Amino acid sequence: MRRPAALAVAAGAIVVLVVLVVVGRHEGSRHARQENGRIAEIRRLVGPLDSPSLDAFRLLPQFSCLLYKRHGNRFALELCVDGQGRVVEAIDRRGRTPRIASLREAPQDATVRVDRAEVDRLLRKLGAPL
Amino acid sequence: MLVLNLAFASSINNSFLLLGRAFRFWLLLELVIVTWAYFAWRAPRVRLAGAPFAALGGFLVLAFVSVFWSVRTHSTEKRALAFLALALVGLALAAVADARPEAVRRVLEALVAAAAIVALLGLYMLWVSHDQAVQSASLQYPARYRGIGQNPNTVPLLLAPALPLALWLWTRARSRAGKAVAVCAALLFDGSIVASGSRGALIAALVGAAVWLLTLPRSWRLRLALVAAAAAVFAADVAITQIPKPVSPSAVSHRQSGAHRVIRDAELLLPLEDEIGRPGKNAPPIRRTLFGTSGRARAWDAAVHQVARRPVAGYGFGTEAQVFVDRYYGFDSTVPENSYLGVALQLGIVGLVAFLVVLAAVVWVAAVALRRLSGAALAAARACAAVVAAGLVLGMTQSYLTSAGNLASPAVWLAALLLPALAAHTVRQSQ
Repeated sequence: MRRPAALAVAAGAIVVLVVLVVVGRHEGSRHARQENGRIAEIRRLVGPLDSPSLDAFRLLPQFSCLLYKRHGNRFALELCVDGQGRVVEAIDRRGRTPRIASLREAPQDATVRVDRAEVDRLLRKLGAPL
Repeated sequence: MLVLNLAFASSINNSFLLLGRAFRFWLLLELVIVTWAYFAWRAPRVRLAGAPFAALGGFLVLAFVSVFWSVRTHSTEKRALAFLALALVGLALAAVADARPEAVRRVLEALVAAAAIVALLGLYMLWVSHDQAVQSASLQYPARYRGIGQNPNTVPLLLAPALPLALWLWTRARSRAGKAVAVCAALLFDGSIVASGSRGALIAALVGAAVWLLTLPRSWRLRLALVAAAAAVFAADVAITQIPKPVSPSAVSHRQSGAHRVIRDAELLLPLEDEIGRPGKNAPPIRRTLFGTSGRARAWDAAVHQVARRPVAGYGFGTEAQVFVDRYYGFDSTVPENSYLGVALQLGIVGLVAFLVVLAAVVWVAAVALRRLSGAALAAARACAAVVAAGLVLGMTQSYLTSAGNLASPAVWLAALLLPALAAHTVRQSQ
């Protein structure tokens, strides 16, 4: 390949990569925004964290979850909170198929927050072995 | 040595596991240094068919650039570096093999030896610890042999592409003892795959063997007869895998007989990893069947939906295990168990296209080599093409092709990257 042609190919490849970086970052922030929106919606449905409908818990290595009952379903709404109080996953099981909003792969992008100390207090109240 | 170490790093046994994990990337690095030192020492005049390397280089650049949008920057850097190291080993070996075609034979023999040692260690494990070597039967699954692997599908990943290599070794062996060793290796590989009940590996082994037999430089009648014989062995293997049965539900004691007590831990009643596709309260358990997907269909569907959320560039190279979440009843893996979907998750449609271009370039070079070569070089090219074919089929049911730390990756990629060296040999032959 002649030198000008090689330079043109290299320049073209760099431009494509730069565009890809921009697109990749845009896709990442759009995905985080959408998931945060859905998490916030389920957070609103839950209401106060210590509401009487709080019925169960879940302890996993990455996060702890609080589960709230609705209309006879003990696990209808679920909020999963990491060690820093970020809600990284929320599940709405009121319908036939669960509606899952999750940012567990990128907890740093989760913007919905709760008081982690309050979560720990509620977990202890439910008998979770903390 | 590297393949053996990677098998240790994926072992059910803690001693093997710790040994493998401590050394796997150091061994890969050492292999890079050794192969490039050998290349520098031999200083061959290289005239490789460049298309697969150019395509692989492009894919690697994409993998590294994905650091800028990755959800786990550290994972992306680490795994892209490991994959680069594997590609560098392949490039150096191909460059040396270009000048010294007998090097291909040595590499392929080493791969068969590594697979045989892994399979024999599985039998040793069966002898010393039945519990570790065999996964117990459950309501869904029959008992399955896993040897030293973490699960029943781990070791067959290596044995399936190694099976056509054992056939190649049999035809190349000069002495009776050599032929007997090759036959024993092939039987050991096939037997281990059958005992594991790994359906994807069985199909991959059949495809690899079929490629090996169909490219035999003999009459079409003989080739088709041999493929029919391979298909008959495959059918017998499948029939054997159906003999063990899962545990009967009546054999499992019901815990409901005790006093009623409210269980607050949701993980005991509704584990997140089994939430989707879970049978109803009184429904019979889902059983693994011959044509069932073991939850893979749901996992693949979910992975496609995840790809659709970041369709162009994906979540970043090497993040497949962090991004994919197993929520599917009957499915037990941290990855979607499909290499092509895995690449799409990591690097989006752009990455998948770039990856398919790499594979297409390898297949094209293999076709060139198979059409033009003769003698021992043709036999080596047929063996490499068979490994690649088996590897690509395995990629449909296992996520491994872009994981340099997986025990099957080196075998498949080294065989793929030796093909350009053999194809370059054809150019010199024709000149």
